[in-house]
Amino acid sequence: MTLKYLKIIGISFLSIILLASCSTTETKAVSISFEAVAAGPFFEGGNSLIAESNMNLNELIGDAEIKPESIESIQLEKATITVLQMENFDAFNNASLSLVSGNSPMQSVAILNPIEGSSKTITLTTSDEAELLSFFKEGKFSLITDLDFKSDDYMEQLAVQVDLNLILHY
Amino acid sequence: MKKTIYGFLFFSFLCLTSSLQAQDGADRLVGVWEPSHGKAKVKIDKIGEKYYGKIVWLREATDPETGQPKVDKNNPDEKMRSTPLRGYRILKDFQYTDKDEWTEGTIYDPENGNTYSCIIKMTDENTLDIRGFIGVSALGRTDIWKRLKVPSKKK
Repeated sequence: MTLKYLKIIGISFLSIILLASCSTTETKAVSISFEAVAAGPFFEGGNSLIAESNMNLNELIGDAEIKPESIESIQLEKATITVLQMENFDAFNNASLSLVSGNSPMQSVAILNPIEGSSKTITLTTSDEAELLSFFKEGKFSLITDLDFKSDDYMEQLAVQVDLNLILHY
Repeated sequence: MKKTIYGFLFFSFLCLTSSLQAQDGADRLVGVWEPSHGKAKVKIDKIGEKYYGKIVWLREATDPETGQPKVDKNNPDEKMRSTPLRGYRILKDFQYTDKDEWTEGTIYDPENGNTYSCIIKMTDENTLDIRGFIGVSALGRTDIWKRLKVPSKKK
């Protein structure tokens, strides 16, 4: 009797494993860019540059064969920031990226602290846990670029380009 | 016909003024505030239609272990632990409810890496009740924050 039950359990377990292995998740890599701006003057410490976006899932996917409703998750693989009106990032201590929208909680998605070297483009450390699907489902969100200024700067405006490499899971 | 038009214009005017008043009421939260412990100062700003508060000053800004500016070393997300505490948004996603309250937000405690649901109530123009809780607001803790007044320039 016990052997019979053990056989049933064993067969059930193997069946579950077989079924799970059949349902695979596909991924698609997508790159998008934003220009975040802020009006000066800028004071020592954190200053926020904002990029508004109306990009929705359809626009993000850009592939008629993938249905928006099949997207299970959107993760950030890589994030870079390029200064547009300066030679490099020497004026800044650190940089971070966050997303905000009307219906989703704010997500901090990437950080670089400290900024070292003297380059026009920096690559940030991206969060493994940030989930971006809700922002693109909503189709209206803001990308916040926080730059920590080493000292006051009285320029009239600052703009940076933010490039994101996303992985869509479907 | 004229009565209808005048009535419509009057109604529109009422809607507009009440909306503007509600907006003015909501924006009273904007400013720099100090928690009761005095260890930090938090600047609350508006992004879109929501309110966020970030640390702009720390009494002990340097980590005694590293000698460097303090970072978010208790963040549950390991990859975000290098985020500096100065500039960190500890208040997020608050929305005005039209009763001197801002709700639907969260408060983050960098000392333990925990995020709590939070309600902000303005008891007077310079005082906030910040109530953090888990689940229901009855099971939480309230802290009193005071507004920092920016000194005016001497002529």
